[in-house]
Amino acid sequence: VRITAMSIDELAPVEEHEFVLRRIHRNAYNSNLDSPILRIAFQPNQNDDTGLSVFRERFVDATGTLADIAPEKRDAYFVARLAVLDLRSIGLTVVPEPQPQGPRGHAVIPELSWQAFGAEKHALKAKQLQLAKWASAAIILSPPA
Amino acid sequence: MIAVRDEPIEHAQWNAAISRGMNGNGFVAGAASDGWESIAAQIAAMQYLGEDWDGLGAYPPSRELLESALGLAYVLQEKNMAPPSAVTASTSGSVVMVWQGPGETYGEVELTRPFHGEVMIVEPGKDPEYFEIPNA
Repeated sequence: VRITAMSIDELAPVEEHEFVLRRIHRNAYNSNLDSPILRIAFQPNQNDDTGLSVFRERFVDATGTLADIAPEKRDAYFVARLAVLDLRSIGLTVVPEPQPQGPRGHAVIPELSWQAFGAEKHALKAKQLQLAKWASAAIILSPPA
Repeated sequence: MIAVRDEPIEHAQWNAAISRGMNGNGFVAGAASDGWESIAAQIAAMQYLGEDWDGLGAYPPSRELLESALGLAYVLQEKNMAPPSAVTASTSGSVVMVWQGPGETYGEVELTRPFHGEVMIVEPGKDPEYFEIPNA
C-alpha cells in the first residue's frame, strides 16, 4: 500500500479552530421554519458505521463536497459550516477518515455512528437538534433556485 | 404536540384510523383539518422515494411505515391537534413530524417502524422529554 503525502496530510488530527462542512439534503430543510434545517440532517443511517460524515474546510470548499454525488442529485443539497469548537462543547468529536474515491478532507463524528445513535438516542437527539440550530444559521451553499 | 403527552394514543385507535384511510378519507369530520391534508399528501408522496434517493445511499420508508404515518396523522387530527410544521423522511427510512413552536418549544414524533413513534418534546427551561407511542 502506498500512502501519499496528500493522505498523510488529511490524516492529521482535527484541531479545535477548524471548521467542518456538512451536506444537507433538501428533505431536511423547510424554509417556513425559524430554524429551517431539521434535526434529521444530522441523523445517521445504516451505512454510517464509523460516524456521521463531514468534510474539513481546510481541504475542500462547499461545492467540492458534492463532487461524489450523481450530477442529477447534486442540486438537492445545502452545505452548512460548523465550528469544531462548538461540536466539542456538546461532547462531539471529529476524526479524520480520508476517502480515496471521494472529496478531500472527509472526516466523521464517531459519536453519531448508526450503532452509537441506536444505543443513546435520547441524548444524541438533543445534540442533533443543537447541531441543526447552528447549521440553520450557517448555510454557505444552497441548491440552485 | 405536547397534547400527545396528556391524551395518550391507543394502538387500536391508530389501527382503526389506517383502515379508515384505506376506505376513503381518513380525516374525521368536525375536527380541524386545516393543514393536515397537506401533511397527508406529503406523506403519500414519500412512496415515490426509491433506494438511494439522496445519492448517498438513503433508505426509503416502507409502505407499511407510510400507512402508519398516515394513520397517525388521522389520529392527531381527530384529537384536534395542530398539524406539524414539517414532515419528512430521514435517510434511514423513518418518517418524522416536527412542530416548531414559539420560543424554543419543539416537538417531534419519529416513526421508526409501523405503529412505533418516538416522541421528543423540548420546552424552555426544562429537560427534554422522551416517550413512545402508542402510550395507552
